[in-house]
Amino acid sequence: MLCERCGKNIATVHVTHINNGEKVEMYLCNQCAKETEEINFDSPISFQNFLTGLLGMPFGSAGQFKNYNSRNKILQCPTCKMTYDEFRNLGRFGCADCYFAFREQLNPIFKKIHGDDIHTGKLPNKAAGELKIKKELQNLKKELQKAIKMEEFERAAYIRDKIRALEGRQDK
Amino acid sequence: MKKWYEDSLDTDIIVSSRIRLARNYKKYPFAVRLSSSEAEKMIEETKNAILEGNTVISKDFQYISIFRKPPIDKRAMMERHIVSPELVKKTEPCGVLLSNDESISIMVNEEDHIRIQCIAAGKNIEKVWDLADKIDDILEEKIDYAFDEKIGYLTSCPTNVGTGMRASYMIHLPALEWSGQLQNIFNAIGKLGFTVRGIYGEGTEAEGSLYQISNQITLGQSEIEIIENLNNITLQIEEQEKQIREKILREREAELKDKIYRAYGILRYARTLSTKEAIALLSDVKMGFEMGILEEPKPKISFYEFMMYIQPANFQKIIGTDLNSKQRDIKRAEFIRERF
Repeated sequence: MLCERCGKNIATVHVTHINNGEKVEMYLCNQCAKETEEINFDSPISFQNFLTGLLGMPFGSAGQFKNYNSRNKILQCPTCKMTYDEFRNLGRFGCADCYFAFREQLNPIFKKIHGDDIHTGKLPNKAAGELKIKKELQNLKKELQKAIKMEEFERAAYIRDKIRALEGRQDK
Repeated sequence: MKKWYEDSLDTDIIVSSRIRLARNYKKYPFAVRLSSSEAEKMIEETKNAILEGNTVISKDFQYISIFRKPPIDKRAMMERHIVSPELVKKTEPCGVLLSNDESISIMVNEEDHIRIQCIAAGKNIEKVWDLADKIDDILEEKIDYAFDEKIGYLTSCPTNVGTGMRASYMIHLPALEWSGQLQNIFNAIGKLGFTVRGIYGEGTEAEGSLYQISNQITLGQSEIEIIENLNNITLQIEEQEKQIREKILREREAELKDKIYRAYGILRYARTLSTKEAIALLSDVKMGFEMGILEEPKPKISFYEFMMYIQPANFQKIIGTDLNSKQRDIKRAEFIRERF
């Protein structure tokens, strides 16, 4: 959502004040929030602040922001033209292709937010059958490791058989 | 047709279960880059996917355009959890596909192109997930989703990528709130990738001791794993709430009974009630019935139904918008009295 005052930046601060007994709520960007005097900065830091803070954290070998790719060109999504900088400020992607344009930068971010960077949930039905088998194999292998760790060998053997059967189908 | 909350039995600490799935079209830019004309096209396609299809559900849905609605109507829908505060604030084309019983709402052009939301009374998260999963399949027949085999469903915000799923319970925790132990619990579940908010989402206050517990992590765990973890955590919180209720009853019986009977008395006889006061008292009465303390006749509608009707915008829809706030408080007391 855009800031209700300037209409340009993404709103990151939620402001509530009482005006003649009526509750007035506003969503402002950081800039406008600072410029508006009535705002009470005791209000808890918003989720959006945390997120953009997290995205702005330095990472990479030199510990610097990676706004440039390996050929020193500005990182930008070829489809929607969003730059990595812009994404960092907004905390929102411009289109599906941004995920691929910023892939290198994103994996550490996913790990920070979710503790993982691999999807193990639902697959669209349209996804090819092969992809489904591949994903199921990944999940089963994960489960197998878990079972072995817990010393549930009967379950492990059962999972191993399932893996073999699936691998057989994949080879065909 | 009956709304989903008109059926709620209302005897539980867990008030309702909800699943939200975030989905996006592959071919359209995401919300921050979507022009109004693209938004119109995207909305049209989504509407058709539900309303035009020969699916069993098409007759159960209607499309409501949100951005042109009068503010009071938008707010009333937000209070009933049909749309999010974010959708209400939007000035670009946006809307919602709503099922007749209001248990399924598909927001179109919110932060993501599509947000499927299913809700049911009580502890019913598996049922609600099944439903959301089916709606998702129906939409997917017509729509090419933005999806990547490695990182799953691609969403506007990186915090939703993967399953795009938020599973949540609304729970009623008056005793834990009273005991001052809530903050400790909230801190603990935060470490496990879950979060607690007020009932209207991010940054809202808890009303009537109602809280929303939901997962934060959407990548690296399957939908079923997320639901299992949510169940596990919520059941533990429910158990703690029960224990504290018993403890309070043992140690401060007179005080507790007094509080509950006073709440009942006020709701039954008061001549003016603000929303806030009414909700706080209804919360006490709900607990009183659940603990078997109150031996009076039960009100004619459930706690959650009261919550839905007496929120500011919904109540104005019932009694009209030409009354000032004092007159509304009188009407509110009357409305409650008639049902007690």
